[in-house]
Amino acid sequence: MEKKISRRSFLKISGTVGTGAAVGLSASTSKTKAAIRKEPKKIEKIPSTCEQCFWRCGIIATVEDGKLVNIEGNPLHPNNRGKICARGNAGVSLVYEKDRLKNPMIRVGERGSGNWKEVSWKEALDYTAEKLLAVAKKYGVESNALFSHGASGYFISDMYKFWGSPNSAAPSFAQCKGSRDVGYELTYGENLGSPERIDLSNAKVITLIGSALGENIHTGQIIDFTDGLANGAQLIAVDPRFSTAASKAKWWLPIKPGTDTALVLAWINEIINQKGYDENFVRNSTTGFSELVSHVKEFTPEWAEKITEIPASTIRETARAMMDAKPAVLVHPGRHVAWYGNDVQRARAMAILSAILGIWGQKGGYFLKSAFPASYNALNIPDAPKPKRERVDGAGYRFPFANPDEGLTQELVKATLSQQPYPIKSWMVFGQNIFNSIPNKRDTRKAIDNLDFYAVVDVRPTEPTWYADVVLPEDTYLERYDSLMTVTGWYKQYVSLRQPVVKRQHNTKPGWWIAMELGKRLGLSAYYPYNDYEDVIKYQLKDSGISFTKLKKDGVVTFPAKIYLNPGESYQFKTSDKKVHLYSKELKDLGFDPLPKYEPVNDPGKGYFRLVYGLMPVHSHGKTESNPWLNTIISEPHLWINETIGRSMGLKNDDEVIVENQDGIRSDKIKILMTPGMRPDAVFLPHGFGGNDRGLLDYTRRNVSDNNLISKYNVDPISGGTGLRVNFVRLLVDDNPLTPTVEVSMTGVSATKVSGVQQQEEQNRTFNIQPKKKESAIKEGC
Amino acid sequence: MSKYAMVIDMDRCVACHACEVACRSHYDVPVPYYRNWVHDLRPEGVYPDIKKVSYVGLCNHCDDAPCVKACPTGATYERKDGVVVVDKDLCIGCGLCIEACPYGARYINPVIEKVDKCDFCIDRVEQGVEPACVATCIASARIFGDMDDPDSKVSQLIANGAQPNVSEKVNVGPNIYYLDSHGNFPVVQAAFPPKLPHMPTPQKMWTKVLRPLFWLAIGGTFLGQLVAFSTQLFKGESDIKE
Repeated sequence: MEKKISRRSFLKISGTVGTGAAVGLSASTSKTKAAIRKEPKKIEKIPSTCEQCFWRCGIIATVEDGKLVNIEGNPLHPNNRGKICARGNAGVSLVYEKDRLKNPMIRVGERGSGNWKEVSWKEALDYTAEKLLAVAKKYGVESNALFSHGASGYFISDMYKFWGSPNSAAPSFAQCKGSRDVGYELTYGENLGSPERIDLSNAKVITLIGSALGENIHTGQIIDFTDGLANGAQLIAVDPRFSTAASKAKWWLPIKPGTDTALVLAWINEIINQKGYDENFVRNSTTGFSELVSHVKEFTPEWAEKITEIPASTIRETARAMMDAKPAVLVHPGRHVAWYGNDVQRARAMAILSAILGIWGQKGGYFLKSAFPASYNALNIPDAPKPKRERVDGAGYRFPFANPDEGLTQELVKATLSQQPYPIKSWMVFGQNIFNSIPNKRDTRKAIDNLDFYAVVDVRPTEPTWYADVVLPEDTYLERYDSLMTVTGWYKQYVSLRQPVVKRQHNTKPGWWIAMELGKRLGLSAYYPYNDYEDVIKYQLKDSGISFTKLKKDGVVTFPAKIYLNPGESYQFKTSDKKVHLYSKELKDLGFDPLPKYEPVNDPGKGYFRLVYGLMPVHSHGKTESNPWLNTIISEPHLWINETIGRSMGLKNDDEVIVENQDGIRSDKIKILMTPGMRPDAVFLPHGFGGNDRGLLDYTRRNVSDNNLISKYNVDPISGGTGLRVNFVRLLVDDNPLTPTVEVSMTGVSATKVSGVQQQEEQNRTFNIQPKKKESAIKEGC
Repeated sequence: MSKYAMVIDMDRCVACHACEVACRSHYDVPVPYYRNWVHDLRPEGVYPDIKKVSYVGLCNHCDDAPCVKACPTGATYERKDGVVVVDKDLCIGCGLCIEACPYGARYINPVIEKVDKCDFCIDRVEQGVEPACVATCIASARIFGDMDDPDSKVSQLIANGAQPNVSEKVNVGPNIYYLDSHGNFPVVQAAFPPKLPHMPTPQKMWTKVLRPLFWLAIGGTFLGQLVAFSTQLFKGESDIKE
């Protein structure tokens, strides 16, 4: 302390030397506070609901003199419990992002020329309505199609329903969790919802099949996941890549991509053979067990070892762990499951595995949905008309189990390309990056040429914005109301409010207002008996017992939930016979396999790798890459490749390569990340970056979008979900394709940690590096 | 008296970077600087023994802080509760403390042209609120508390084996501890060992502190003279008019 005082004296002395020095030193603000901003006159704390992703966490925004300065988690919110992820924290930066869409615009040059004029909202909406009505007049209302996403997307999809067009689709089904939901519905009569009703914090064994929790961040789920691990849960991570989850796993199973169903079937086989299933539950609450037993008879761990490249002993060991821990075994249902185009059957296998372990309604397993104790007043509006023509995407008929509320984006694109079964002549794209979500973006781009009219509504420009005839800028989620978010399947039931926390920064409008104004112009005034959405929420809550004032003040209102079954209590499943369908007659009747089978996958072939992809913890799909606070953390994706393979091709870390797929489609240059934590037959590309929208955005980014390279895809005949992991790529340097000169077999080993420094011999042994075989011995893939 | 410390539970951390962004918003840290960080390392090792490790770091609030010694103005000092802070009134932005810090925890904020770094959110802590990075941590991997309280969670975790990032060469009494049961902390220590503090030499003192101060003083004096002269001139003119 004395030293410090002496320094201060020194400073005082030196400060008197000259006026300038004294001036220079006193020019700072507060003392040790690092805050640069001035002391605010007014500080407000306003709760709302996040939408940096679609988990919808409760947040509290701090607004100082009208400026949003930070966002924290709402401690009252039962989902995220006061925590918020990087993206949620960076909502501040979204509001003030300089690249936002700020004014309505109408195109003046050629489509795709990037020339627009800024117009008033009245002009933009009049013009949009005129164009939509012209399509309706010439081809029928149904020829107007919509791609939507997000909380405000509901307003516009409702508007299309009110208008009589059935043709709307969101990527949340076919490119995400559709096949999972269908697989679980076929088995249990209901799906696990979103947020998923999974009791991670109480599980004794957690099984993740391709779910990269930790890189895929949903705050409430990560809270439970990390609590579960801290409570001693054993983690089985099935992933061709050494994910963050794998790094915390007792067993990392580096499975051959595309063979997951074989692994799950072998687990079922082993659990049945060892009589490790829940006999009571199977007897009382399921049908089709005997069919299951004979079906899986041949799917032994040895059978699966040949397919999955996971040793039979590891399959047995992990099956044993699940049997011993049942019913506290959490088989995560996954979320993005649009992998191979037979994904409903994989989801079925996982649902069956969890059913025979008897985890439904049990602590550490799948928990129950409660009945919401309050009911909202419904708006007095007419019923939506029945569309005159069937929807073009086939949801509900060509794809019998596709959910028509979400639709099938890729089928809507195909119908627009072919103009069959009837012309699709206008698109509205509302909060969805259709070039980064729907596979084969060249089709998407071509389909736009068939349109008479194409409008984009978004917060920030994305590649699809570039071609828009009209651009309508939406408020960020921090500047608008959305509809009430009611969740009944969680530890506590809750209703969460989204309300504006900050005054809108630009000439933007909320989604509800855009839908309402457009609807009124399309002759749908009867559906919009309001001018302000706050009034709608007040009316909905008026007789519900939930106080709007309290909701506005707290951001969330909670109710108790019954999430576990009582001991001995049986559950009435929502299937026809109230039982879990291990064997699915529904599928059988429609000509599908009533029990899941493994369908073989192709090998990539010489010099090629299967392209797998996934999320980065600081980015949501293609939504956040331009956010300066998030971009500074991960500003470009790296391509993951097996270290030994990479070295054999003469590569080193951070070398730049070009990725070319089987159809000759090339990426821009991308840096590589070499790691032993990657299967030798696959490469991994983080999702979300890329796009040729450099004209709209100030920051530059390379076109290294995974979706750019996904030109080929399968379609699940049951759900209509897309299979996106069917593309093979090779790496090029200076136009020359690289070929590995070694073979690496990564036989899954029980990842019980090997301690100490490994020697080179050890590496040779575990890697099983062999000299290159004769070429004829290597299968050609593509 | 309190003695503040933080434990990073590496077993829990999922490297989501929420702490980094929360800190940025709470302290207006301009991109690309940071007061706390998560450095993600490439998954390395020999299959199947692979480690995917992230280094979560911040100011270590060292007991024997080289930055305090390096600061020529007394702006950087250690509070009685162990928190090392920068008095912005006294900081002249010379940057000598940046070179002294073994952990790279300091930067010059270009907006205010002064040194900035983690202060354990001491304003929040004094109001009974956790530091922003701790409050937001979705994995509960950051634990903040008082080491003088044997019942505090940090005390218990330190007793259970949480380790500071020190080496044989550099140990300046850091107060950030790392809890790890997967052998990940040695990876961090190998990749990010504490740097030998670069203490200011007389020459550096001259180039970075005294010379600028000297010129500032000269400049200030000159400016003062100019102002005085102009005022005089102005007054003089008025005088003539009168």
